[in-house]
Amino acid sequence: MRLSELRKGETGIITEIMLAGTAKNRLIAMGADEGEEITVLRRAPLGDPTEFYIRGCRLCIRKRDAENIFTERRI
Amino acid sequence: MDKQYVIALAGNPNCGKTTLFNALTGSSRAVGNWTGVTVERKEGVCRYDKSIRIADLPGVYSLSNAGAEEIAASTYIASDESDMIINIVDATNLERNLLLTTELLKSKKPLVIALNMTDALKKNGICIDIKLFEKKTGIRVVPISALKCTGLKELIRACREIRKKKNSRFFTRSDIKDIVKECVKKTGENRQYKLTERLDAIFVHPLLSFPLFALIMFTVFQITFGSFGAKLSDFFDRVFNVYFAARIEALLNLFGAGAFIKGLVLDGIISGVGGVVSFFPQIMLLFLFLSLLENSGYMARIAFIMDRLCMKTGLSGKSVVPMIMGFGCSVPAMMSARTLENGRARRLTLLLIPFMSCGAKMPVYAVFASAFFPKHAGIVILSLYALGMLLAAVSGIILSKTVFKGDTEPFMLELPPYRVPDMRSTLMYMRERAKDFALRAGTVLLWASVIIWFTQNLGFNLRMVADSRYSILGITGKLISPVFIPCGFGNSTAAISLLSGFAAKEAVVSTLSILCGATGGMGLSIELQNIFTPLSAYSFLVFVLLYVPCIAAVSTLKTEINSRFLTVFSVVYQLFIAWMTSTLVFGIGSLFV
Repeated sequence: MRLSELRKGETGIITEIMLAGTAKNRLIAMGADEGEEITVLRRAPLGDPTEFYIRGCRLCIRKRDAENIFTERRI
Repeated sequence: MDKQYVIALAGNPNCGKTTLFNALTGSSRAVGNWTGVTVERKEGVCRYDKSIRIADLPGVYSLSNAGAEEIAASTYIASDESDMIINIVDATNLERNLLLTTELLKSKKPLVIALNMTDALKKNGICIDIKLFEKKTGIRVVPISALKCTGLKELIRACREIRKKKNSRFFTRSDIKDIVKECVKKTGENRQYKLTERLDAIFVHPLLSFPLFALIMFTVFQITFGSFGAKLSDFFDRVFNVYFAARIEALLNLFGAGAFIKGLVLDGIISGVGGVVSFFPQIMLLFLFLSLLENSGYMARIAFIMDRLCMKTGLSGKSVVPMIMGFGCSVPAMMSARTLENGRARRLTLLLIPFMSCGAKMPVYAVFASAFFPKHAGIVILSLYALGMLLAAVSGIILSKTVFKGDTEPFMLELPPYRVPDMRSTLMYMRERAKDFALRAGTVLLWASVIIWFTQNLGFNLRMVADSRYSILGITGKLISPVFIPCGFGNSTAAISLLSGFAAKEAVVSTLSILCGATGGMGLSIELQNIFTPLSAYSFLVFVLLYVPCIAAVSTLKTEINSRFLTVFSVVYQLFIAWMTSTLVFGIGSLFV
């Protein structure tokens, strides 16, 4: 499932990042490797971007980028 | 003399690197730009060991990205310019910070980890076994608190010990999780995380966030331009334009200076520079608030809540604060755009900042509004601000589809935990900006004032003229005034005052006063009615709103955008938009009035 489909409070494990090279590099640089846990903290008041918790820090990602990140929902 | 030993300071953004740099170098530093990029470069001499120079690298998450900061950092580290690296690591966010460490180690340069924010470990509910950490990574680790200035001497001592040893041990990304698991132990609940969560629940609340943002911005502007800021401004004005000017005048009289020199120095230089000197405390207040907003962590939240609105114009939420600063003064606004890492977004923001009606234009609006629209002054002025913002948005959309076709770099923003801003760093930041501003006023503005005075008081025969209508500026104004006929104010008075507005926007009012021979505000209001109609007055204000910002702003733009082409483009674009919009306003308005 896409990262953008995770709901508030849910945690997923990143399986694949289907973004262009620089975009993917930036995510990996911030610690969002494949295999990492990522939790949805909240959405911005206007709906976008979304604040995630990953590797000990809060990261905001836009919906159109989150749509290209695939995760497995962690139960 | 020994060649100085250079240590590069590398680390993530938000890990206290600037605070550490300030603590290590004290007041001796040089600020500049890395070659080729508009990324600030800071170097200074270590105050604990004068034979060591510290070079502050831009905060980066990794060395392998294509951003300006990453390129500057990785190039510097790979080069021979630095002898070793201090990697500053945020102890409360160890896992993520170590990602950069693995990349720094690849350079094989001697490396010491400065484990910062050790004072915050307790409120994060963790403790770190440093000896075990050193053993597992093979790297020397020195716990410090840049804020409290502890551990700094030990850090430099460790650097001296390590400097001769080449790095042979390194660990990889996959080792990080194990290292962290073994060395970091939980001792209690993470109070810092909880506090940030609670504050975010308010500041990023679906209903409260925007009103709070508006309130905070309003407070900033109220303090800066309201009675407090105005009192400071008056004080500077009196000291410089009255006392200092009087002393200079006395001195000139003592030397028997003629009208030419007296005019040049008093009416040209002192008056020209003085207008901006009186603005100086308010600009410093803006920088103060900027620094507080950034260091407290709130600035990131502003970018977070505003991002969706900015997306359509090709910008991101990070551009919001620089744009808002533009309502105060373009100069600090453009400088604050340095926080935008994406070069394209930064350049676009810089081009759009002039649309935000700056504080210096207010006197012009005020004079015309009270002369022509006494009952609706507020609405008229508000409409101008709104028009500026609208055109900024439209320009943003058009430019991002044409000249600034976007590279699909994603918007990714880290929200740091809320922190109490470090006053020492804040004051140092303000001092640097003050120096920068003073330098700019001292050079660019000085020359501009001299040139304006020359052209306003000398005719083409290079002799002083009694009536400024026959000066170089006056004749030039008359020559170009037909250009403004479609805009509704094709007269030489209007043209000349607009030309004088290049030096500083306030000059538009003073030039109008001189040309109309008006005495005081009331007199000016009456005289203006002879030259403008309400419609042409409004169209004039629209032109003032949109045309080129003052010379100080253009000079700042050139420095920040680092491209002669784009600076010229900005000037031409502003002039074009100003003329077009003013013409449209007058043309459409004429159908109704």
